Amino acid sequence: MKKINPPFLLSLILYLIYKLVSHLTGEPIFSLSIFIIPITFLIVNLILRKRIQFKSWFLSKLNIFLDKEESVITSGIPPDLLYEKVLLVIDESKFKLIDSITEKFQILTSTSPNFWTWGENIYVEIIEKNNTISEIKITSVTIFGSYSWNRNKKNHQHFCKLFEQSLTI
Amino acid sequence: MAIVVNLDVMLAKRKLQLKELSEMVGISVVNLSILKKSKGKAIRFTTLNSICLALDCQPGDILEYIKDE
Repeated sequence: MKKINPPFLLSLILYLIYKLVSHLTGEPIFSLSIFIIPITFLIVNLILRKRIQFKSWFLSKLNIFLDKEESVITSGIPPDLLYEKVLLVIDESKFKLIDSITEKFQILTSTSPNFWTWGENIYVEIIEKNNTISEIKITSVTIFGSYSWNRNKKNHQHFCKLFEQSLTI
Repeated sequence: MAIVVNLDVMLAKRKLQLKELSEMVGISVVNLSILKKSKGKAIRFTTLNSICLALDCQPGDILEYIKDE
């Protein structure tokens, strides 16, 4: 059985509560106040989205209105070189480089907004596991939506494909 | 790894820096560094051709097969 996405479930519950309150009170306009909290969350997210400093906010489990997907790629390339390589991959791709912290090997990129989406933030972090192995941790997060409609997964697949292709020199 | 890239040896023989080779062949320093460390997945014939041209050497001077033990 397919796992139900918690933010999507939450949105569904909110909608059902809205319908219930609307039915019980008979005031649909007043019932809309139920959506004030999630809308506030989403506006805050839109304001903070372009700053890597707020990474922990976007990746926090408490930020229940965002859909996140995390994945890891391992590589034998040293972290400093890997960081430069990932920047090069992003530069040559459809992903847009937003922000980066060289000292921490952290990168923030995003996909462009279109008719279907406001875009997703993709946080990339390079971690040195030992002298021979480094890890690229990729987390794709929706900005304005509790369900990614598989876009997070597609972002990850696209990034992995680009990275693999870039290793053919 | 069975295939070893001896780019650093050839660079030393030709008294060239990686950056200089990068400018000569039009491949980024990052990609050449990855190649030098034998961490690349594959090498294109065009890349090999331009490196051989720039360093005036044979592909065998750059690539070496070492049997895994």
